[in-house]
Parts: sequence; C-alpha cells; structure tokens
Amino acid sequence: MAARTRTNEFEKSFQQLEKIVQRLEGEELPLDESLQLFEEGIRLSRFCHQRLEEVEKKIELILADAKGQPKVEPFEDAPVDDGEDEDDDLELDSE
Amino acid sequence: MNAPRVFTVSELIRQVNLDLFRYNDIAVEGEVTNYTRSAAGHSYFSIKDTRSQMKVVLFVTNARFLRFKIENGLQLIVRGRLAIYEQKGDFQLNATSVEPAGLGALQLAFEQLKKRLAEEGLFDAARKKPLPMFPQRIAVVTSPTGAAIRDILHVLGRRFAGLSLQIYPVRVQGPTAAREIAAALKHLSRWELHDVILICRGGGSLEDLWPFNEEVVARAVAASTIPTISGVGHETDFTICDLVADLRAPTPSAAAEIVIRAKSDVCTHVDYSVRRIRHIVEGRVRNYRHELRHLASSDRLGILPRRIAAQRERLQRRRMSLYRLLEGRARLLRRRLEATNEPLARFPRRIGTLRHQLQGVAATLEAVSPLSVLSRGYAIAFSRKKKHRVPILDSNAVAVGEPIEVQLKRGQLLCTVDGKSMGVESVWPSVNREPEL
Repeated sequence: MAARTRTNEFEKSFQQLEKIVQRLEGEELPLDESLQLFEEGIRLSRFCHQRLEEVEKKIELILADAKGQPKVEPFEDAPVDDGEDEDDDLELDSE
Repeated sequence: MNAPRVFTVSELIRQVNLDLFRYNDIAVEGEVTNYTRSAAGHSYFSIKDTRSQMKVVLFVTNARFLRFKIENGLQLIVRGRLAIYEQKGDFQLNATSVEPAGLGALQLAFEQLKKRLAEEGLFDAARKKPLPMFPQRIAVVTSPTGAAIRDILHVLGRRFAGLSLQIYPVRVQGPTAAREIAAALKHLSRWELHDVILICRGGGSLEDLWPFNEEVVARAVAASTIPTISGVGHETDFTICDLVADLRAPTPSAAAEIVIRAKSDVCTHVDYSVRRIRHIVEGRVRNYRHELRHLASSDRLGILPRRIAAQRERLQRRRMSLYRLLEGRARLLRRRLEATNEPLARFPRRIGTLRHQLQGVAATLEAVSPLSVLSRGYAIAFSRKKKHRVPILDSNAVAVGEPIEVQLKRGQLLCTVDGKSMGVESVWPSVNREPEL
C-alpha cells in the first residue's frame, strides 16, 4: 500500500500545482491572494521535486523467500556500473 | 468347396492387427468431430473428410505435450498407428502426435488463447490500469542474465536519478518459465512495493517467447494490482502477455524509455508550472510597485511627504535651540555654583551692611513721618464730610457749622467749625503768633 499512497500524494500535489497555475492565469485575483497561491505553489513544487529525487538510485534483486515474503539481494553484475560511456555522456549532457 | 477357416474373434482381430502393422506410422488429415475428453485426460474424437470418417484416440501420455486445444471443426494432421481396438473391434487411429493443418501448432495455440481471452474481455481497454504519473520504484520480471535487463539498464544508465530498480529473477524460456513468471507477478502484486512492473524478454523464436503466450502468465498479468508494462521480443513480436498488460512496449528498451520519459515529463512540467507562477506573480507585483511609485510621485500625494519633511526640520531646529538654551542655563548655573564658595563667605558681611542702611532709611522715614510732626504739637484737621478723611488745607474747603476731625499725637477731637477767616497762605508759624485753633 505504501507505494500507492506515495504515488497518490504526489499526484495530488501535482494536480494542486496545476490548479494554482490555472487560477493565477485565469483570474484577476487580489494581490495578497495571488501571493498566497504563489507561496503554496512553490511549496508544492518543492515537495514534488523532493519526491522525484528522494528514491536512491539502486539496482537490486527481489524474490520471494520460503514464506512468500520479499527478499532483497544485491545485483552484482549491473552493467551500468561498468560503463565509462555513460559517465562521459553525463558530462556532455550537463554542459 | 473350400470352407473358410473359422477364427475366434480375438484370433481374427489379432490377425488383422498384424496385417495393419504396415500402417504402424502413418499420417491422416481430416476435420475433427465428436471431440470428447475423459476424466483421465485421454482425448477421443473422429476425423472426417467429405465421404468418410474414422475414430482417433490420443492418450494422455501424448496429449500432455499439446500446446493447442483440439476442437471440433479443426483441420488436423494426425500421426499414429492404425489398429483395431480388441475389446470392441473398433477401427481406430492411435495418435502419437497431432498437428494443425496449415498453421503451426504454436500459432494455432496462440490464436486459440487470444480468441478465448478476448471473449473474456481480458484485452479490453477499459480494464487497463493507468500508469502512475511517475513510476519510481520499478520491478522487472526477467532473467537477470538476459539481454533484456542489459538493454534496460543501458537505457536507464545515464538518466537514473530518483529511480530504484528491482529485478525479480525468472527463467524466460523452457517448460517452467511460464509458471515462474506467473508466480513472480503474484508475489509483486501482493507486496505492492512497486509503482510499475516491467515484464521483459529479449528477442527469440516463437518457441523461445512461448512462456509469454501461456494462459497462466496472461491470467497473472490480468490479476496484477500494479500497472504492468510488457516488453517482449522485437517490435514485430506480439505475445498474449503484450495484449493483457496495461501497456505494450515494442522492446525492453522501449519499456525503460517509457518509465524514464514519464519521470522527466513530470519534472519538466513541475518546473514549467513554477516558472509560470513566478512569472505571473512577479509581473503583478511589478505592476503594483510601478503604480505605487507613480502615485507617490504625483503632486497630490507628493505634498504629504514634503510637508512631513518640513515639520520634521522645524522640530529638529526647535529641539536644537532648546538644547542650546538648556545648555546655556546649565553652564550659568554651573559657573555660579563654582563661584559659590566666595559669595557665601561674603554673605554675613553683606547682611551687616544692609542692616546699617536700613537703620538710616528708618531714621529718615521717621523724620518725615506726620507722626513725628504730631509729636511736636502740631495737629491735622480732616473734613468729615466725605467718606475719606481729607486733610483740610484751606478754610474755604469747610463751611461754618461743619463737623471736622482733628488728629492729635494721641487721640482725635471731633469739632464743629464756629467761624473761619479767609486769609493768605500761612507762613510756617511765627513765634509771635498763637496757632489759630
């Protein structure tokens, strides 16, 4: 259930952010109200970004143990780690 | 007359079966009819053409390897041994293998399952789960040593931030593959640890991809509570798994692309929203500020600050002069205080001088006092007519018979004027004249 809740939370924040943009674009709001919306929007975007980046990059094996419970093991020969090509590309991308 | 030899029934059937031995391995093509299946798993049916039909038995030992299902109307090539069933004398074909005519067996099995599941509604768009906005925790059901996982990791490699990938290792070909894949899906679905499940396998023959066409996999994919993306084989390969999954990716790499793109799309959109909000609000604040500045610089409102400034300046000036005044006073007082020692010492002497002067003044005062004149015997006459006592200086000021008052040194006399004489102003009393009283 955890994964679903996280996703729902994110999607709700995302939709709220969308709504704020629409309201600001669509209506002539009083200044302090638009400032409030602005603050709320910034807060939501921070939350979204945090969520987007908070999962640690990792590659693992997952399988069921004898009792049918998840068992996580390291995935040893991840080809991503051997790639100097990828690193080069990253540097190029960031330029 | 040669009488025919009389056989027992079993003798004859055995004899004919021996003769039929040359049909020990033949193949016959015909359309299936009267198909039944026993509880033990043996299949009984007939094959026919336009003129004839014959019985076929497919025992469970041989039926086990069948990929497709035998149905009435199916055009089959049945391979086996012709024989007469000894107990009943039925002429029948004991099938060792059965293949569909025209199509390959796998192709047929695929078509059959596809048709069946379609009828059940398993491929309906309505029952497809939407992918999460950004799938972050990704499960991949695949072989940990296969080409598919390599392709996926290669695609994710350079844009991997904020994603976690867990590989559920399964065999992706061979007789146990389908069951392993189905079990993996069941576990993942129950654990609910992931946002999305990728079901992947690299390219191969139809035979290689077969596990992804098996019903048990199709059912497990359909039952998954987590959205599924299927990426099996090359672009041209279509599996049942592809059809049941919530999304079909043409290849494993494409499945990874979908996941990555979802995330970067969301990122982009969030950033866009923030830029938009900022732009709008900053624009508005800028406008207000501009208007405000404009208002402040106009004459009407400009007066106010100027007036305030003037007042403030005046206040400041007053405060300064007040300070100066107070300082002057303070300086003076301080100087006096400093000078105090000497004047205080001089003070008694000064009092003595003053007292002496006062005595002088008193003596003078006494000399001119009317009282001192009275004490020398003079008297003052006052008119009593008026309210105030007025000294009478001229006999014309009083009438005869008018009451007057005479002030002596001690006491007063109340008198009446008996008579009066007009005269010149008296000279200070001569010695030879009596005072006229």
